[in-house]
Amino acid sequence: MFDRDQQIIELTFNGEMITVVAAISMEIFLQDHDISTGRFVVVVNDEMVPKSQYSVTILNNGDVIDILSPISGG
Amino acid sequence: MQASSWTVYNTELTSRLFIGTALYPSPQVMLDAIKASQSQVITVSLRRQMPTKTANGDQFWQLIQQLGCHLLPNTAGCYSADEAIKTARIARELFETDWIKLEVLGDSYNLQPDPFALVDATKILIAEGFKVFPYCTDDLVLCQKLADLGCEVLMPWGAPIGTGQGLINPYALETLRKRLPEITLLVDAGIGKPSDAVQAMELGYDGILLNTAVAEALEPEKMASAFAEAINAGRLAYEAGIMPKRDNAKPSTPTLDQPIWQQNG
Repeated sequence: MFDRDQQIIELTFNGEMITVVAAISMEIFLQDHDISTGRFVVVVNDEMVPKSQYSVTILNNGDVIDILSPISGG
Repeated sequence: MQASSWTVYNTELTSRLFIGTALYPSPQVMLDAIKASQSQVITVSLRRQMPTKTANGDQFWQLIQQLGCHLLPNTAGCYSADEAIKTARIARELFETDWIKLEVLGDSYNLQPDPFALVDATKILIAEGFKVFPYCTDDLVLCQKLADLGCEVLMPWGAPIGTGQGLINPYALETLRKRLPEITLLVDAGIGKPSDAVQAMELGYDGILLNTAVAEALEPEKMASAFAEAINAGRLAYEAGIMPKRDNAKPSTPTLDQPIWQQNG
């Protein structure tokens, strides 16, 4: 859980509202959600985030994050 | 005998069947059916999913890697040019290909493509270097416009997606073939049975894209084989040159030097 004096922000993550500590990077966010392996693309506010930018991408209150993966299609 | 090989956006292929990866009763059935189809191109898509270690989110990706096929990602479910463009950009990153099966739907009842949004999206994606495979209606003017924009491949529908109705408007499809001889044409959607595919191939279509007809067969692997053979047969027939239809009968056995008792009829 969060410390009493930590600032909390709200995010929409794959369509669900969640809260995380402020100033968290995308890299840490993905680690916290056990997203490290597999094929996926991260999209924040409709913009793709390259893997090289995960460590320097800081999440902000109200961000909409989508993790997109391959599925079957016709 | 195998029909001639062909080229799609500079990629040489021998199979003329593109096959979808959806709707199969199990992943193993999907693999078996795709192998039986001899297809070299499979369609895929993308959705919000968690690729976590525990949820097997990466299972589909690992499965299709076994097939060694070219991937054709789609923009299924998009109802605007903007949505389709965003989806295409993500698909390029996710699947590492410039190929995109561009679907922009205009009607949720029959999943009919929106021709205006399709043209808008095509224009932008071609400018961004995509190799666009537009899923379109069989309208000649729309198809000419898409070709003028730089599409080397067009994929008009035979019938609405998943209906299995076959070629509802063969006249329109034949017109497209005649008027766009330089364009690679595939019938995409509506194919229900192998004879539908044969009909399209005999019209001179370069290939077929289908999914439901195989995935929802009682035995998908067997149906995939049937389509592979049908599509090859249809193409061979087209290459061999189909005889013209005649109004009057013409004997196939020579009439010259018939015996005397046959000459009084």
